[in-house]
Amino acid sequence: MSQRAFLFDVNRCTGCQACEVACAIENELEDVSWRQVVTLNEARQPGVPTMHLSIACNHCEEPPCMSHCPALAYSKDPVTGRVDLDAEKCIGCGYCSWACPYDAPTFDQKAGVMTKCTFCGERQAAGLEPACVEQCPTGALGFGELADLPGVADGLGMPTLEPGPSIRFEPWHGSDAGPTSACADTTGRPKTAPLPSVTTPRKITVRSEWPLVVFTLIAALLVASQSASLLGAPGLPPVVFFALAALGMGASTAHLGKPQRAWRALLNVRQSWLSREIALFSGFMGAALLLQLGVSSQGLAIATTAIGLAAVFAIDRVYDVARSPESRWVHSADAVLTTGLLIAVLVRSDVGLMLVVLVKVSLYLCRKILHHRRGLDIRRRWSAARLGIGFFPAGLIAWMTPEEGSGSLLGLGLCVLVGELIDRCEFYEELEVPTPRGQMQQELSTRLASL
Amino acid sequence: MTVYTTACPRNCYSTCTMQAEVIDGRLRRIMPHRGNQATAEGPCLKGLSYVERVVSPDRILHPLRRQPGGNFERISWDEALSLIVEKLETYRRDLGPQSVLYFAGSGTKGLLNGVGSAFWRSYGGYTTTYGDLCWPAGLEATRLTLGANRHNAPWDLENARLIVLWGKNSAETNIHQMTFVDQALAKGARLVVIDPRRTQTAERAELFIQPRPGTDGALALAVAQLLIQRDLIDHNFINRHVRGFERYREMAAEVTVEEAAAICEIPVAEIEQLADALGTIEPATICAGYGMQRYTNSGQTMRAMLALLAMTGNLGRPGAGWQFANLQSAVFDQVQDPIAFYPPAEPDGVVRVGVSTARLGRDMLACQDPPLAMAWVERGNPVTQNPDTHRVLEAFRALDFRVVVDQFLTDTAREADLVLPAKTMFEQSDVIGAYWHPYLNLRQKVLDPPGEVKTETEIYGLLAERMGLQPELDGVPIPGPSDVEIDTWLERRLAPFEITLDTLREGPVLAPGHQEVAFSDLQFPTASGKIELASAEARERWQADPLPRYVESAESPRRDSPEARKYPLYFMTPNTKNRIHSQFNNLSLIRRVSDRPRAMIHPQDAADRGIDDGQTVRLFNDRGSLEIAAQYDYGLRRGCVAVTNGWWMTDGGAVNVCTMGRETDMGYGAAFHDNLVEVEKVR
Repeated sequence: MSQRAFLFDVNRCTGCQACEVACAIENELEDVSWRQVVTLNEARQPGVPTMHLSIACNHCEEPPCMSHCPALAYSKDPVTGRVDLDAEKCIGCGYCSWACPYDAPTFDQKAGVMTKCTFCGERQAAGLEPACVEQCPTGALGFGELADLPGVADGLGMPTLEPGPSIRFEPWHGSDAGPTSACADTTGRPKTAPLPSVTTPRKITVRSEWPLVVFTLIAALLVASQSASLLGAPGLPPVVFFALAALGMGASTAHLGKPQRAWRALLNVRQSWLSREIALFSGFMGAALLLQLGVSSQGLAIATTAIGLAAVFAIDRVYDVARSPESRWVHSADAVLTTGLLIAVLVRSDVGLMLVVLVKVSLYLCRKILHHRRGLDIRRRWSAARLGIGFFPAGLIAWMTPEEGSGSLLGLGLCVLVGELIDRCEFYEELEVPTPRGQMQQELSTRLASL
Repeated sequence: MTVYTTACPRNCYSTCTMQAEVIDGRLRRIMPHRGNQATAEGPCLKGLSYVERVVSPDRILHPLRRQPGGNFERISWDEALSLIVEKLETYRRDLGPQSVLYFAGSGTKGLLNGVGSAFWRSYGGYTTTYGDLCWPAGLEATRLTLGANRHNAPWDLENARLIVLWGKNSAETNIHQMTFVDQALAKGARLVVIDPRRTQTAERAELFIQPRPGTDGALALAVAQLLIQRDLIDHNFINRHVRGFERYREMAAEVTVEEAAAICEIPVAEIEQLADALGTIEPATICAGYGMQRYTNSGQTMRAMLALLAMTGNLGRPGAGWQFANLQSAVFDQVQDPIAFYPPAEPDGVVRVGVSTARLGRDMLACQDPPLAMAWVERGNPVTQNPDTHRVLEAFRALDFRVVVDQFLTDTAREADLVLPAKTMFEQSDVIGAYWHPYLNLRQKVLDPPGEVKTETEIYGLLAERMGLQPELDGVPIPGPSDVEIDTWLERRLAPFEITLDTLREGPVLAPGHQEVAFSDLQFPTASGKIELASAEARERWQADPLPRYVESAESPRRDSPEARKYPLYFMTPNTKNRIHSQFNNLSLIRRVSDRPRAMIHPQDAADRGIDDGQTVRLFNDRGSLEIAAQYDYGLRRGCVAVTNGWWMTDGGAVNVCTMGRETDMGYGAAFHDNLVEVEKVR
């Protein structure tokens, strides 16, 4: 298969952004551009050169957008190696923008679907270079057959090379210390002067993802309820169970740019954890409905519970692409742990409860300590609320005797849920998708630290 | 789909040749034109954004008349022309024709711009400005020293072994030059950048010097002194081609290198490194920017710098020379710049060249006999772009009647009584030269003017018809509005050079008589025929020191004045890649990369004033103030604050509210970079 690729010369790029504008004009994009220029050391701190990376979709060998897309909206053109996004198939879930480490897919608010660089397919078909390449006024961007391009595989601002990006780089020929005048040296290194505020916009926030917070918590609660019933404890009343289910599924569906195409989310069970999550959760709900309709079989109850637990596991895997390093394996707000905690509460298993709480508190505290050391905001008040409201009642539940009435159990259970909600919100706030912009920030910190 | 050759007529070094693709009467895209060796890679983001500019919803498409409430209302051309004719006849009768100010800016280049003065001359006379905001001090310094403003072809920079970008931020203002810098570096050349700001251009500099603003002359003299002391000069070249060297040598020695270092506030070592580079690496090219020749001492600064090349024999050779302005394509002009900017020695009784553009507001108010009653502004936005905005506004508001011809409601147009819609570069053909590369270009008509837009040629033609005037340009009547008439007129201008419009429709043409290596014949058209380091004409014409002695600029924190104590920061107002002066930033394509004005300040200077990154600050002096977001810039020399010029008043960033209307030491330039301010946090 042929694979065309970009060539980027960091020595020639002056960060002029003509490529961004050229892309917007060529593709008639109103507010965005599919190409972006990201900069190392925008504030021109002494000791580090200011350099740029002009980046668009890299039409990867193993495109993560494609494998993670639940709706099979992506494909790879065998002739040019171009990664295509079919707007008619896209459900607007935005998951590809989490999966792509190069920040290539962008959400089109108006159309409700994702859009991305088309490699100027029509131009290529006409024997022309992509517009950004043709229009670069310094010749910093090049284009050709990947195998024929000069340069090296890795370049400044690339968070990872894992997907096999189709881009090659000319190495930097300037000084790694940047231009240094005596004037700059005497006016204070960054260590003594105040640091500029970090302005990397975050892709995932609670504000943008709150329907998912609602959905995942409800999913954990429903699966916990089902598990508890299987273990002989009283689960949620059916009305509450199905009302919550409707709320959770409604929220997550409304979250899509194209809710009417939500069914497409089931298409990529083979590769995408998002598809698996949705398929498993739908299966769980179907089975739960059967149970509710009076099909009483121990086998079905066990199967329902198993599918539910698998769905909860899948929920956690969906977020693997965006987990921060310290929560790579497990996070205190993982749906699996929340489900475990809720099962323990519902079945009143003191040992189980203590065990889960111990795991969760340890994970929570460790993470907070780590964040504190890194100078990150540890959200003291929220943390106190999370620990005080969320875990303390769980302890009380353990001390309570069953005779003490379901009224107080309900109150304490709600407290536990509030704690889980806070943790889950923090989980979303901590999610971080690697991007070229973020990579530049990291690179700058590293370089400044080594001065 | 049709693809046309055209060229960008903005006041910009690069003056790119481009291709315009038109589909169904719509400008679809701008593409590179490989026929121009200097801009072969294609235009910058501004050039690309023309596709939006021509159809921008903000474009003025009809004559607009200001209503008593201040709003503009659409009126017909007939009403507009009647109103103008009535006013013009009244002023001519009651006050005389010189009560009308004709102000033409540098917004669009073209031979047809001449119809303006042709019309006003036929009206019986007018008042106009002299001088120029941009570059005259450097032009005059170069003319006094070398005799003419020419330099090697842009691509010759590749042959330089040493490139000194002195006060020039090519990466933002002449991006195509960076390609040649890169090619030279790839061949092993050395790069020196001298600028108080660490610009993008400085990133690959091996030697980077950040002198105190306005002290480049002292730096140049110190380098000269070291070159002489260390005998790194080209005696042979000096003996044959340089005049006044002995006197220059003695003058340069008046200030020691240590003293010069103290003036520039840089270490002696940096001066030594610069001298070593200039003395030992050849060929060397100095590319001098325009910003540093907008100080009160700047003509002399440029002369001091020019001497470094004369002493080292770096003129008239490939890879060497002084790149300031290359006027080789100005073949149509009877009078070459900078002399074209000077007021005539004797008034001709028709045109009163009575207003210095540097002091526009003050001089307009001072006009007597007759006082000014009306202004006609085209291709310019003097309210924000000339110095001392408040004074300019005062002068415009004192007039009885104001007409502004523009594409958009700029800050100047908002002051007008009558706004006439202007064509864009795609709506009438014209021929343009450049001042960096040596090509002639056809700026071709590719679209019909939208709405009721009329070209200036047509507007003047209609006025002349109504008033019974017969304006002539170059001895023939100004052309009529049709494409054929315009083309015929242009062909006539091109005929003496044996160039046809058809040739230019294919691509740019090198200017007739162009020297790829300027002064390669070592003939310097000065009075003495040699490079003049001491200039009698500097004294005669400008009452300046014949030798470029360093004097502190007028507004300097070192001057013992109450202002200097109150306002300790140099206010730098450089150009940005995102605009040409006040053009382009109103387009959404540009807005998305350049959203609002910012005051760049060194974090320590900010900390001294309790200012955080991003915080709103007030930047002020006695002349005016701006409220603007501060942005940390570690690369800026301390004691400076920088806001790029050209933001509109409606954006809150019109920097000239703080500048003073004052001339440079020579050339009638505007010394608006002599400008001190203070910055404070807004509660």
